[in-house]
Amino acid sequence: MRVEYINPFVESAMSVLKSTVSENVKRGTPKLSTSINNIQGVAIIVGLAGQVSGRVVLDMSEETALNVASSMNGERLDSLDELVSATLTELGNMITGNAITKLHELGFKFDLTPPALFVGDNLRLTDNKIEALVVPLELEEGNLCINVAIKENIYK
Amino acid sequence: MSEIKNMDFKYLMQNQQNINSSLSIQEQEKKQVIEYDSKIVSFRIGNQYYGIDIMMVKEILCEKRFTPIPNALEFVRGVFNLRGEIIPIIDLAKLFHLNVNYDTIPEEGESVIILKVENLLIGVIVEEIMQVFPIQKEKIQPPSSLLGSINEEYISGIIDIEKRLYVILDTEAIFGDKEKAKKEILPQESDLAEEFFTYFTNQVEEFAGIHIHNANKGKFRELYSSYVRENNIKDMPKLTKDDAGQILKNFYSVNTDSFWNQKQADSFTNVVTPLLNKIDNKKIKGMNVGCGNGYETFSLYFILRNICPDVQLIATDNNLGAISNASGIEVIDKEIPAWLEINKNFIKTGGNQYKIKKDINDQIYFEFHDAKNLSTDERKFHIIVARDLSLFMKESEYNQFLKDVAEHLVPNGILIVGDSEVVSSESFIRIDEQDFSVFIKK
Repeated sequence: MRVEYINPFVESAMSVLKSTVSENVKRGTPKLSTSINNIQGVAIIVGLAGQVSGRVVLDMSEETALNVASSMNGERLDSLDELVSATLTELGNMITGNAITKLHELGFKFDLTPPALFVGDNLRLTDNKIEALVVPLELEEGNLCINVAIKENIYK
Repeated sequence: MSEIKNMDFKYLMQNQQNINSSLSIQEQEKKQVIEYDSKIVSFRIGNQYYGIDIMMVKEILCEKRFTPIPNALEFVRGVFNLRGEIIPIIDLAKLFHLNVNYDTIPEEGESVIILKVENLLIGVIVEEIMQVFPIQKEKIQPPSSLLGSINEEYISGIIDIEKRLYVILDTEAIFGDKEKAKKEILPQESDLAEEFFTYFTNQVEEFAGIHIHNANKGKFRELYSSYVRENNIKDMPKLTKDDAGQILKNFYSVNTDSFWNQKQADSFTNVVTPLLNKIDNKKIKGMNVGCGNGYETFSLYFILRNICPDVQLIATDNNLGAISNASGIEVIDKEIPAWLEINKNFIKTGGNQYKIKKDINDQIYFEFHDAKNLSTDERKFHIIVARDLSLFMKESEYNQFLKDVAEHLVPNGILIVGDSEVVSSESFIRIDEQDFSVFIKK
């Protein structure tokens, strides 16, 4: 993945989480991974298109998801209902949208697909033809992972 | 019936021979008083008789318990503690591939002859020890190549004593043979040296966080010998972190951390231009794997751009810090060799600091990528430069990487590895070049 893409996504995730969820967000070391990633329980997926193809996955446990949604709404939410789903997909949208705005400023033209939310135990994400950047993020509400995989469409 | 007759005939023949030979000995004995000048210890394995020069024999004993050595060669029965000295025990029958079965081990133990060969004690197991004979050296007849089971070179001759033939073994030839002994029988100097070398490489691996294996071991062997020589080390080498760092530094290809010099640029151009033109003379697609802080990438980019104006170059590294710095590399003027045309390609950022011009920098895609995941990439390249990557991968990972490289190169595509790296993949042919290790995909 091009170096230029990394910072917009990481920075956007940090700033969105800071402003909407909690002040204390710690960033772990970015890693590269391929193929199979175990999903902790809840995954928000936003597709990328345009001069690249790829996707952004926000991955967290159900507990963290509820905590994050509670913080964002300013009230305690205890089940993965409509409101929680809407809140989480919006979080995915904000992070990705923010990143893409930054990338536009740098001259990269990306489009987004509407976010999708996946909930379940033993979820696995498999895409064997793409290398993903995985950045762990630590919040008071729990840990979440931002997983970004981008492939150039030009330059084949 | 005919078989019995045959046997009878054979027996008669042998008998006649024996009679003849004993007659001849008797005749000789009549002529003179025999002067014996040597003695042999005789023993039996199967139904054959052998002798060993008594000067080579330290002692003879019976022993049952030998400590087996795991992974030892078939003929090494184990080791034995002889009054505090550990000696290897060798089964002579197995060593010589004699078809003998020791089904029953005698209660008092097996017969062992302890030999002293060049300050080395070795025990050999034989089936039965007979007696000591005085012999005349001149009576030993040279071995015949037809003797079969025991290799001729290990036999000093054959002697006839009291109507029986004894094969005299040349223990020095068997056990004194340094190469053979080192390789097969005993841990001697060379094994020890190898052990020291392994110890050395383990420390370098540990301190420097790298992997040493067949793709780069050769160079480390050289570096080890010069390290040992310079520091006058006779036993187990003990390295410091700095030593390891210095050794690793000497491994790296020329100008890993600076722009390539004029000579390198010239020889690169000379060897690569015709190869690239053969593939595609309008466009060059290149990949620089493990680009580190970018010196290599820009050196490569400027050379390729001189060969052909349309260059697409991707530079990757799995070190996020390094690759972030590589894109937008900043250097001081002294670092820039003349062939890189400082005024054309760089802009001054203050003092003696220079930066690659942005439009040039934007031509290169710097990617955060782990070479181990190369298979996820779908792009094809004309040239892949991956110098010294073997250091950062285990042997299996590196071999897989080479396979992936072959997969990602177009036919006749070029691979360039580190100066001291060996590519043992069948997919590549090496091109004769001094300054770079250049390979072509078959």
